[in-house]
Amino acid sequence: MNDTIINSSGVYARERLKGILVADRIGCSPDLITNIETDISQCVSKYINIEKNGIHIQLADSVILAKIPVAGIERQKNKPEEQDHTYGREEIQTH
Amino acid sequence: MSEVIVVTSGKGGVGKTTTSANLGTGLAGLKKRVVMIDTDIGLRNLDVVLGLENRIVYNLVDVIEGNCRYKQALIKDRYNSDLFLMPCAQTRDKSSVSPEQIIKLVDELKSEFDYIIIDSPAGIEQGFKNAIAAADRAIVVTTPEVSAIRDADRVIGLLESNGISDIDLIVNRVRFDMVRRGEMMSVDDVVDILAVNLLGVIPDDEQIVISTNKGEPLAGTASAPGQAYINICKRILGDSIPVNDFYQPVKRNPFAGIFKKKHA
Repeated sequence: MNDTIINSSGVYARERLKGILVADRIGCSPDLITNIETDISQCVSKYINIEKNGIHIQLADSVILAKIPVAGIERQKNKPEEQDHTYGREEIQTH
Repeated sequence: MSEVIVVTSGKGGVGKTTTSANLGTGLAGLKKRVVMIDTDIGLRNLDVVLGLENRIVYNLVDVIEGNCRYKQALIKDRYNSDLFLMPCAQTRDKSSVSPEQIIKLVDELKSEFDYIIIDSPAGIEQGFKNAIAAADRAIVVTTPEVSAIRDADRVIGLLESNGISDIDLIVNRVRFDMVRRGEMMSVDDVVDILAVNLLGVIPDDEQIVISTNKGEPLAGTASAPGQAYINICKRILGDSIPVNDFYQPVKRNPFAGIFKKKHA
């Protein structure tokens, strides 16, 4: 069911509108935004492993924000488990 | 202390005039003295929505050109003696009036009315500039459609650059069945994108068409839009009625997250 929502025309409209408004507010064409996204993607991927298709440019107030998803973020997900381990050790030490 | 509210949208056909008529009717029903000014010179319609089209003698341009006093042009509503309409000219164009002239007229009206509601024409040209000239606050009407929201965004920018910082949003013609299926942007989507305070949501309802057919605004009636409009009027008066009055029926369904209300 969630997939149908994600692929629905409402979500598509929202994402399309966001692009249009960024272009309107900056005063450039939507193509230019796509070019900026491609350039940033190429530039950053020289140094960091990123998800190239996931780049998203937003305009917040008068600041351009580029969301660049980093590939391979599994480490962060492991952090809580590591903490759990130390917690366990501490408990053992107190005994 | 009177307040001047401009109802505007950028795009045509999203419900500015219907909204103006219902805000006027609702506020007058809440015991306020209200005058509505139609500034859509050449394409007037507020008179028709209110069912007052046969009573027009003088209009806005007559008042501004000094052909009559403003009291001669005001038309009293059929049902509420605290509600008045200042109709506009049908045979002239927008350049017949300047923003300075509107400011002068509104200043005169302030002595007599609690609320002055200015129905703006579509577009962002002369008519729009006239309509916003005297406004203390603005209500932007949009529908959950890409074109209407894009124009609303443009209009919000223009209002801000003209020194109107008190801007509220009405999302009109929302079809909750379509939102539930994901085939229409949700109210939250629209509010997130436009980043202005949400004043109310009007569900799409055939009663609106029926009320326009009759020339009887439905603010305050038992219908869903009638209740939505009266709640908006109460919020304008400062009552803290939650904006989610028309979200609740939807909240019980599995996609409740989509409709979760953001309090501005």
